[in-house]
Amino acid sequence: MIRGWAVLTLLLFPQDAVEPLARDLESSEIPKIYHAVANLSALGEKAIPQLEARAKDAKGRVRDYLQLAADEIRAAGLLTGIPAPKRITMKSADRNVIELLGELRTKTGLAIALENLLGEEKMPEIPVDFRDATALEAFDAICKAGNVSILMDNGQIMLYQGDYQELPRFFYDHYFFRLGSFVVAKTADFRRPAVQSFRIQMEMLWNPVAAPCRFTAPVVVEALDDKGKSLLMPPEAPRKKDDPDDVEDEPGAVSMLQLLPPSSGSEKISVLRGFSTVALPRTRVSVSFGEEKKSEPPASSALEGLVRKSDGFTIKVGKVEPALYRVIFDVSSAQMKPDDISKLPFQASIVLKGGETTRCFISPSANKDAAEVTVAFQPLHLQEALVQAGDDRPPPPPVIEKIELSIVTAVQQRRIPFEFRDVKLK
Amino acid sequence: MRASVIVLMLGLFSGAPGLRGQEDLRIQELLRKLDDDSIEARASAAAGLIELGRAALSALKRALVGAGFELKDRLGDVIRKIQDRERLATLLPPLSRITLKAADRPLREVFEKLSKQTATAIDYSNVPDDAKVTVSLDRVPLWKALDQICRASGKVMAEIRGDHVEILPETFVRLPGKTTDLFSVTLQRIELSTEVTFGSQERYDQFTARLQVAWGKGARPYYLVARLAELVDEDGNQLIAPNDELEPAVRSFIGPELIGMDVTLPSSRGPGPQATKISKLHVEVEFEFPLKYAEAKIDLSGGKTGGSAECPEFLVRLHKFERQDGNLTALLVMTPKGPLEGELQSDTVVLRDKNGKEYPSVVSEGSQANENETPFQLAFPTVPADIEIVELQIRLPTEVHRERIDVEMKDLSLK
Repeated sequence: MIRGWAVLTLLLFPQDAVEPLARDLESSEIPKIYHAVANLSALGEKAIPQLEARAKDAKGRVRDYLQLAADEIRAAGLLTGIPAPKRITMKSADRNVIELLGELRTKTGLAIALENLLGEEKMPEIPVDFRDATALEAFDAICKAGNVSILMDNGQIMLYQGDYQELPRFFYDHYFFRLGSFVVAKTADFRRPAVQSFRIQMEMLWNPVAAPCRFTAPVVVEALDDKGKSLLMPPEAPRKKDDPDDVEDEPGAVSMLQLLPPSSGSEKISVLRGFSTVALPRTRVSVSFGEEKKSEPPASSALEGLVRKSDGFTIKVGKVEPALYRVIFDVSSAQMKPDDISKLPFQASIVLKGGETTRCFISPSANKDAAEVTVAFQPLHLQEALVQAGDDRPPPPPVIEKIELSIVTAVQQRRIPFEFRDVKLK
Repeated sequence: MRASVIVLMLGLFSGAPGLRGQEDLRIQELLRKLDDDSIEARASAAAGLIELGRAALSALKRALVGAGFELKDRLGDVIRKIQDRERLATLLPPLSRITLKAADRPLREVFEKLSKQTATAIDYSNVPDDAKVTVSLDRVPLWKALDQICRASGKVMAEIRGDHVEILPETFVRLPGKTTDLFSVTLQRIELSTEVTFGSQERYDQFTARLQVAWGKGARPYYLVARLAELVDEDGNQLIAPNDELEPAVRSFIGPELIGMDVTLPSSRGPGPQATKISKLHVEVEFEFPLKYAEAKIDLSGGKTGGSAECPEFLVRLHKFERQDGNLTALLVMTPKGPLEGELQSDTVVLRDKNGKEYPSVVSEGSQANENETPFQLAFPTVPADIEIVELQIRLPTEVHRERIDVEMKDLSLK
């Protein structure tokens, strides 16, 4: 519906399209604000001058939202490989969580494996009613209604029965942020006054069609507690690293937001707003193996040694070790050194016999002649292996049906906003 | 008990009529307290006698004559510990004792003089040029000497940086801890935190004490164990009690170049970040030093790819001693036959070439096939390709000296 509305506004463009949406940016309702940002972004490049002109006159959050919409328009032109998010409306009272998630998967293409939820017990019918939601908003709403917990592991969405956690959440486009926990800490080192700190753990999840290939640490631009205290760390006081064990993790999907401790007696964080910058694939070189024989999955040995050449890269299947759940590729190029190739982002997909998808963990390294790209894989759902007493033989290795490997040759930075309101601390 | 005290005193005076001086009086006092009704007094007396070492030995041995059953046990324990320490002293390098006198002299000059009296490397390049100090040390052990110089200057702090001591230009603060002749244990930091999952009422407290433990060049322990023995918050709540037996922090594979290391002791029982004081923190640090070894050598001369050897304490078999992808590797299976105090690690399994040069191993334990045998995967990454290997030596401690330091810290301000 919003898409249609955006098309309609384009007809009215330029004078009347921006103004009503810009007014929505002043709303106190977060979904309304970010739907307005999305709709402003959908207006396309012609809207940029007007958005920027209005941003100059605007203040605070509204200015940031207008600037975000302009940035989104610029990024969209470069990210042609990522489809626009679909909006979905669903109302039902007579279907169970698997049926609802199945429909969501059909309507939006959201890559979710439902096998973990399949059991012998009959699942209860659950009521859902949402309108104009992004795929991830709809997904979360169904999981909440059906008490299904959501995990994201290495870019793959995993589902488990029970334990849905009611965490502060924020949805935008193909992305979904949730706040996991907070830590109030004090460090006394006896050499100087004790230091208090406040950290919030935030997780970013995404629709696999828009998977980032690199992350940078999130930036908080506004954080206020309910007593009006700003929790932003002063820029002149970066965290001192005097602890040799305090090794900073590579930025990833889970991050710790460093803030000042809330005021004494504070019960909630009124606003927590910022952005996470991710690198998305702009161009990539993709090859696949194992598609030749449709009727029978190829033997591992048949895959080994296969070579594909594409856009100056030579990709060879070095070793296929299904028993160890891994495939090793040798990637070389006449234009690039092995070490430089190993620094490029890679994406992989391994499909097992019967079309069973897996989640993949990729670790590139370099040797003298080529980059060695190890792709470890795991089935997406838990499999129960029947073990007989006294039989300690390992289960048979999985049969690999198809392997896809992509080398991301250029990336596009994109700022993904997040905003939480009234986050309870007590 | 009183009777035995009298006997003890008689033994002391009759056996040593010439006892004199302050030290003798102190020994007498400690021996008397060793039979006190209070546990604390007895423990303190035993620690004092052990601290006195060899000077107390003859008096202790004389006191054994005629001592009652319990006292005899205690005296025997103290004597054994002193003798262990004496044996340890023969294994460890001589203790650095610093003697120097400086009246308003440049601090750098003082550290330079100190450096010449110890094998422990000291980096004093960051000491402020204009810093001066007045200090007088007479045969003071290294860690105490460093502390006294830094304190007298007020402008520097000493920190352990792996294989050396670094003198940092910062205002001197006396850190909580304990320093003995050989060792130094300082509390560097306390971290308190509370973690809450959004939407949950449950809170998870965490307490972490970070210690710096130092032993000096050449006195490297084989094994180090540290644990939180007691923690009392500012309201008097005993969050960790002496009998709680918390999981200790264990350090093995201590590099030969190290002179100290940081040890982190975490606990899920903390007072929370709102605490302003810790009333009591008791930490135990135990150093292990081998006194005796069991040793077996496998003959690998003539290009042998395996073999076996045994000693009264263990049997070892070596298989697949070969090069794989350029690295020399092997499989070692060990069958213990007697008491062993250590485990296989890098410097207990050593290859020797025909010139007597030694090459350390990288040891990783495999899964145990049966109760009596433990397999180990060995790698020797530093052995050049053209070297002729003649034997593999496996050397494990069978008897160790355990030196325990109890560090009791009170009223630690967290402000």
